[in-house]
Amino acid sequence: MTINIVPLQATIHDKIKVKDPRSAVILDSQILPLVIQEIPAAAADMPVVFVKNGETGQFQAVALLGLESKENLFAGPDGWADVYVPRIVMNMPFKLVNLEDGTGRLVYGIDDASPLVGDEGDALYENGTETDYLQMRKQGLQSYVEQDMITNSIIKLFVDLDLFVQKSLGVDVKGQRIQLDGIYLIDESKLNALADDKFLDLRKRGILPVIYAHLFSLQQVRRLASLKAGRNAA
Amino acid sequence: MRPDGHIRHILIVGGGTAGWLAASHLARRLRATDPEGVAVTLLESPDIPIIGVGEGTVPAFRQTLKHLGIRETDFIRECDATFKQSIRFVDWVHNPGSHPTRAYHHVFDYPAVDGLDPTPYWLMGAAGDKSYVDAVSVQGQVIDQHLGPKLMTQPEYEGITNYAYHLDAPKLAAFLMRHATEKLGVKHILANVTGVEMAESGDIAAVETDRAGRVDADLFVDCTGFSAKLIEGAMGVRFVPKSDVLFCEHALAVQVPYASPDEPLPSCTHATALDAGWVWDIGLTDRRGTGYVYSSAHTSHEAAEAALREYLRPTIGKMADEVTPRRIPMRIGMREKFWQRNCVAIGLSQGFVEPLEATGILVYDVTARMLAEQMPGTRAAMDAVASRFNERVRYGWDRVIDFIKLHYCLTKRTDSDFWQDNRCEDGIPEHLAEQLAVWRHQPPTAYDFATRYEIFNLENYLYVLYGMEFETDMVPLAGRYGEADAARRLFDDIGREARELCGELLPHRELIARIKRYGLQTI
Ligand SMILES: Cc1cc2nc3c(=O)[nH]c(=O)nc-3n(C[C@H](O)[C@H](O)[C@H](O)COP(=O)(O)OP(=O)(O)OC[C@H]3O[C@@H](n4cnc5c(N)ncnc54)[C@H](O)[C@@H]3O)c2cc1C
Repeated sequence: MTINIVPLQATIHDKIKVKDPRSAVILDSQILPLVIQEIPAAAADMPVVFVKNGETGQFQAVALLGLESKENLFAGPDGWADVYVPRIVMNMPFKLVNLEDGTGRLVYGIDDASPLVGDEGDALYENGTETDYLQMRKQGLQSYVEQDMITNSIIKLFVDLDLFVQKSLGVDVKGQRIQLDGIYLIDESKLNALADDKFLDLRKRGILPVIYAHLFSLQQVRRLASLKAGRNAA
Repeated sequence: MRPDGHIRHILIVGGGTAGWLAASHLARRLRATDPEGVAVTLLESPDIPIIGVGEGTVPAFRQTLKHLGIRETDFIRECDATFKQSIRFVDWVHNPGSHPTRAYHHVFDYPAVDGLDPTPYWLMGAAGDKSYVDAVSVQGQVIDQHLGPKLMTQPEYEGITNYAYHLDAPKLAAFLMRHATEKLGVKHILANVTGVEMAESGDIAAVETDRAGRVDADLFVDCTGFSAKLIEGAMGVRFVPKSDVLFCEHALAVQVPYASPDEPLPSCTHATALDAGWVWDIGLTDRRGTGYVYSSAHTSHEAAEAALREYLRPTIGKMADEVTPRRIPMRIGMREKFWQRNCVAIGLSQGFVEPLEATGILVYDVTARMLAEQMPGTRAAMDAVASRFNERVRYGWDRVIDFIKLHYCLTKRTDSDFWQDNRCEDGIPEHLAEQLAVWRHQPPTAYDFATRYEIFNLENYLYVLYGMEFETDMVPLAGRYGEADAARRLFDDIGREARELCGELLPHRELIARIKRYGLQTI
């Protein structure tokens, strides 16, 4: 998939339309990053775990979408099933990008090469002014960037509190054992062993529901297994 | 000494690498932060600088840092550390220019023994013309491509390949000082020791200082470097010179810049043999540390300096004429005893041989930990422990000397007196000569390294022996090795694995930059 993000401009993008991102075909992402705020919603449909970013070694929260690399059991050729769709997908084909003019200024960009971009869907401009649709999408992006920053600081807090443990998750798919490695979870016993003030701090910041949603979502690994079994059968 | 003879306070004199390592091990093991534990004080001179060299380590140092509760990320950031995966020996075997193979690696990964010992098959030619290291390990190839030993996703102190570090010695001492004083409860005093007060028994009662008065303790650790203020000055323990075995007793050290800031960062120490010794070349992030270690019986100081400049010229150009190397005389050998009454020597005061395999920090670290773990509760119990300690440390030094001499005595070089003299059998220690006699007729085995106190083991010997093209006569043994096909497959697998790995690992310089930027995780 080629990606070609260019700054949004009325003069260039006045004719194009953008389709619902739920129709985005992301067949080959086994994991997609999540911001903390969307974890409870995502956890209702899919396992939410933590992995290390290969480039930086930093932890990130992700939705686990498949049991093998490049497998997304929640999306088919026509787009996403009726499940929670991570915000990183819902932002497509837009992205906030750093201007490479030395100022490092953030501007709204669009991926011109995205299959979502064409002559179907919502228009971005009308007579040279932004449509309500575009303004809504821009607000979505803006809040996503803020939430991403909050997410990083909360994950750093988890690291500093030493809450993560490495876990290898195993499931059976039609009698075949599949082992998922490189996955990290929040350890309940470490959480319970936190000093009172630290625990209270998590509670006050509203992080506890996120943690419990993550822990609860591990049950969804079995859902992945049955989705995969169903797919293999089809 | 206190009336009950209990050991409650240990004084370390000297704040170089050895002093802070010893203080850290003692404080950690003896619980210096706890009022019920043993108090540990380190006293160092504000005027006498530390030796400031010693930039190469061995993998055991990694365990030490971890054991002391140090974060690898902090260590890498604050000591300008880089990864060391081997020592690459250049021109040790053949007269320079006379042979196509100029170098071999002593890598830190053990040979891949996957149910099958590859060494005899390599000796019998099953790996074709592959060098020993490339036949039995992936690591030489990782190093030749200037790659780092680990992935960003691996936790601290874990790697794909085994590794040690290069580091900035003064920064290490300062870093260990902060850790020891802030985390481990070591008390720090800046003062010069001006005299030693002896007890009637012959023990040290206290040291006298110029600005901290009299400091007493139950045990004194001499980390005063080559000056050996306590072990020699006060206790009169004799030094056993070993310069008849290892000839190099001077070093000319100099730091030089990189030609450009993004020059590939080597992840091995280069040790290049010259006419009368060898040059160490260690890459830190922003500079190289280099030095010519030589025998002044085989060259003059002037000629040595000229040789070092010639070594540097191809990489730093005319700056080779502008740098000013520092000459460091080295005392080669060790103490007759390391622990005498209530005084223990750790560091250069204890003994030193040329820095060829980074044995300095290694031995000081091992002995400091051994001291901490065996510390008796009372003065009365001390002499028996000391006597065993002395035996073991002496055994360790003797084996270190064997191993260093191994690098020299197998040379085929004939182009200078230094190398000729090194080939001479008289200089080869008896134990090493015995081992070599065995290994001429069979490859080394673990049986040849029988004690727990070996500093260098089978694997280290294998890389050096067969890197030096040592010949083991396999003809009478050939019938015992019937798995040549399996061995060939193993060699192929290792080759394939090396190619795959090289695609996954980051360039060493990039890896260090990312660690500095993002840090590593502890899990
Ligand atoms: C040329 C060379 C290269 C080396 N390379 C390596 C290497 O690559 N790898 C390796 O592992 N090792 C190497 N070493 C060994 C390394 O230098 C030592 O491991 C290490 O630096 C230990 O030194 P030290 O702490 O014993 O002594 P020093 O660093 O000399 O410290 C002595 C301390 O004693 C204090 N002191 C002295 N006298 C008094 C006094 N009267 N009162 C109070 N304090 C006093 C000083 O202030 C100082 O703090 C090398 C050594 C040399 C000479």
